[in-house]
Amino acid sequence: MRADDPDAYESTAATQPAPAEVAGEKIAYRNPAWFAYTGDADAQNMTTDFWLAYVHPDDRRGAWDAWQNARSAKTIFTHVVRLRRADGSYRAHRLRIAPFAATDDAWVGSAEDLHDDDAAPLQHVLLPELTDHSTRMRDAAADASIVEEDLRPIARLEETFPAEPLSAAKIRAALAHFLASAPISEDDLFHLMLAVGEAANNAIEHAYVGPGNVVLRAQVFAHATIVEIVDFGRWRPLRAMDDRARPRGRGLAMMGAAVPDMRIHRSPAGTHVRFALERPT
Amino acid sequence: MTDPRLLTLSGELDVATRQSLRGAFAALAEVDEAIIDLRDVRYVDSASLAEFAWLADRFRKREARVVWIILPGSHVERVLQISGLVQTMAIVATPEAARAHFAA
Repeated sequence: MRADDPDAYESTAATQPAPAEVAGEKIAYRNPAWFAYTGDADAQNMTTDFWLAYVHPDDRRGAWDAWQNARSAKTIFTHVVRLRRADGSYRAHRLRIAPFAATDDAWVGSAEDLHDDDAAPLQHVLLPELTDHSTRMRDAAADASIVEEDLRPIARLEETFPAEPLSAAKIRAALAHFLASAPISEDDLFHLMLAVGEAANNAIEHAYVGPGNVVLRAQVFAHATIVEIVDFGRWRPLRAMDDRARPRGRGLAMMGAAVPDMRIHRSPAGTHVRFALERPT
Repeated sequence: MTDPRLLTLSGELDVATRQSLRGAFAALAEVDEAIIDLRDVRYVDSASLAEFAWLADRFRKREARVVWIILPGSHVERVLQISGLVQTMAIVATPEAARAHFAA
C-alpha cells in the first residue's frame, strides 16, 4: 500500500487490524459514540488516519489532502465529509481534528452530525508517548517568551499543591476564586474549569509514584486567559484498555472538547498542560 | 413489588470520592430497579463519569433498569452532553418522573 493513497485505507482497515504506524506506546481513545455510530469493534488499534476508512470514497481524496496539509502545518483540520454508519449508510459530519502540542504527532478529533443536533459528537484522542524532549522544551520556552513579550498579565495566580486526591477540589476552588472577577463568560468558565479539573486529575493520579507537587498558574490578559497545570513527574503507563481503566483517555477527550486551544508538553522533567481562551476584542 | 432503590449523591465527585462512589455503585450491582439522584452534585470528573458508564452498562446487561435524576442545564447535565454519555442513560428531571418511569 502506498502511504499517500487514501483509497488504500478501506482495504487496510477491513483486512488488517494492525495499525500502519505505531509511535511507541500511546494514548488512544475513542468515545462510546464513535463505536456506536461506526460499529467499529477494534478498540485496541488506532492509527493517526484511522477515521479515513469511514469516510465516503468520493470525499476521501479531498479530506486526505486537507488533513495532510493540516497535519504537516500542525493546524486545526476541519472538513465536511460523509461518514459511514454501522448499517452502511452515510451521514454528513463536520470533522475537526486539532493538534495537542506544536511539536508532537498528537491529536484530538471530533465529528458532529450536520443534520442531527442531538446526536452525540464522535470523539477521539491520539497522543503518542514521547521520547525526544530537547526540541519540545525549546519550543515550550519559545512559546512562553512570545507570550511574555506580547502581553503583560492583568492578574496572575500561581499556587503549589501536594499531588494528592484532596488537592483536586482545592485547585478547582482556587481557580474559580481567581477567575470570579475576570472578564470571562459563564460558558467559557464552565469549559475552562472542566478542562483544568481533568488536567489536575492527571497530574495528581499519574505523575508520581510517591509524593510530589502540582502547580496551578493562571493569567488574565487583555484579550486572553491562560491556565497551566504543571507537574514534575512522569505519567505512569496506562493499564489494560477496558473502559473502567481508561479514565485518562476520557479525560483527555473532555479537555480537548472543552478547550480546543490546549497544549501538552511532556518531558522527563515533568508535564506542562496549557489552556488558552481568547476573547474577541 | 418493592420500590426502586434510591441512591442520592451530593457535592463534588472527583478523584477524592472515586472509591466511595465505586463502593456505592457496587452495592447496586444486583438491584433490579434503581434511582440515582444527582441533583445536589455540583461537579463530576471524567473518572466518575466512567463509573456512571460502568453502572449503566451493568444494568443494561442484566436487563435491569436505572434512572438518573439530573437538573436540566446543571453542571452534571452539561458534562454528560460533552462526553456523549447522555445518549446511553435514562435521565429525568424530578423524583416524580423517576417513579413514573418505573410505574409505566
